[in-house]
Amino acid sequence: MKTQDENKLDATWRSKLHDQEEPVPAAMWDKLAERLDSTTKKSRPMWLHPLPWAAILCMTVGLYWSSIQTVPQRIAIKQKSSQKLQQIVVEAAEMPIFQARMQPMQIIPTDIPLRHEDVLQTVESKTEVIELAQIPEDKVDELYVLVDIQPIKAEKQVSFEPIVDPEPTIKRKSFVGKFISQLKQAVAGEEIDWHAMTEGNPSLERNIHAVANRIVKTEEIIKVTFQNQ
Amino acid sequence: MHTRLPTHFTEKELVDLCKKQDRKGQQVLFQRYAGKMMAVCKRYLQVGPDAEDALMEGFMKVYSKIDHFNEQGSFEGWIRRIMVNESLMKLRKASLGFTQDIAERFDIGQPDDALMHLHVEEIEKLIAELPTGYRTIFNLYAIEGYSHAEIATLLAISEGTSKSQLSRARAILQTKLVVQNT
Repeated sequence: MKTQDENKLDATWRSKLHDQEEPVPAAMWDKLAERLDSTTKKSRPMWLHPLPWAAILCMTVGLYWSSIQTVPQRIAIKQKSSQKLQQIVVEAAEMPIFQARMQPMQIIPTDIPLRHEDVLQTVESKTEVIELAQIPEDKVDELYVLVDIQPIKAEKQVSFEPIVDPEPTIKRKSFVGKFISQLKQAVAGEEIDWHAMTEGNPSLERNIHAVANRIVKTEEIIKVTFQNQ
Repeated sequence: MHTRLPTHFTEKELVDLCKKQDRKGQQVLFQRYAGKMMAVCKRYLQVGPDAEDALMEGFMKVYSKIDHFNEQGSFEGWIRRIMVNESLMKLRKASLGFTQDIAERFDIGQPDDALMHLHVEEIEKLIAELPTGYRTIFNLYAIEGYSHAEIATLLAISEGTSKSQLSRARAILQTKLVVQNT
């Protein structure tokens, strides 16, 4: 009976308080909206950002491209880029500044009066070139020299031959060949030159060193173990 | 300038808008329930700033966990439970002590008719004057309708403690009413 009355009281109070409202501070929604904005920005998942996707795409394309390239194709691309580089060098060589530097030094007489006219009797034109060595020293009292440093268009096209590695003139012995020759030396009673075998093959040299080091270390370990026992 | 928000949204429409993180929908939801929920928080946390904090945290949780709302139940009830939990968390931070585990029930006699006919303000005043522990359990049991088992889980106390504290709260309320009337 008592419990029933209590329940009745609880129900009455509950119904009275259920719809009870309290004033809310006016700025509360603004604060809440601010917090919601910051949370929304922070919680943006990684897969919605464009930059990681762009980076992944670039990497994928790069990897795919390199995987589909066969060895001859790669060589062809390298050759193509090498030719393009040579073409750029040729074009650069045609530029006036390079042309000026490539011209041989010329001595061009001017209108300056000379005392010994007979020295330069053949010189009429300003553009005629006289080699300094051709004028006898005793006949020249005073000589004015004008060096033309103006850029001049080259008459001949400067051509660059593509740089090709020359065929090796000295045929190197292969590893098997070296090994056989060293074997012959050993049979003949001569000392084996290990350095000669590894010459031109740094990886093999490294491997031999690594094996040698391992053997030495193993020997040391065995020694220490026996000593301890 | 205060913008006039639409008030015609049904509860389902509001839930859908909030699930889409629509800011207008969230604002309408806030304006519809903030007053009621403030009253809930204030019943547990007497101090103004604490109640406001609990309300704020509660609404943040409502917006972030709205996807978990089972639309078969009452939306207001769901929000109310969140607010109650937030308020309890605040109380827990203030280290509430529910050490009393009294098996005996206080005999408070028959509920007075006067208790039944109290006005809302008087009820609120009486509840507010209860010590924190009693008030919390009284609010949870009598006003929110939680069972003693649920209260025990929520507050990490035994059911016996919950029952005894409720009895004690009732006794205090009745005593206070008697004192007021005399």
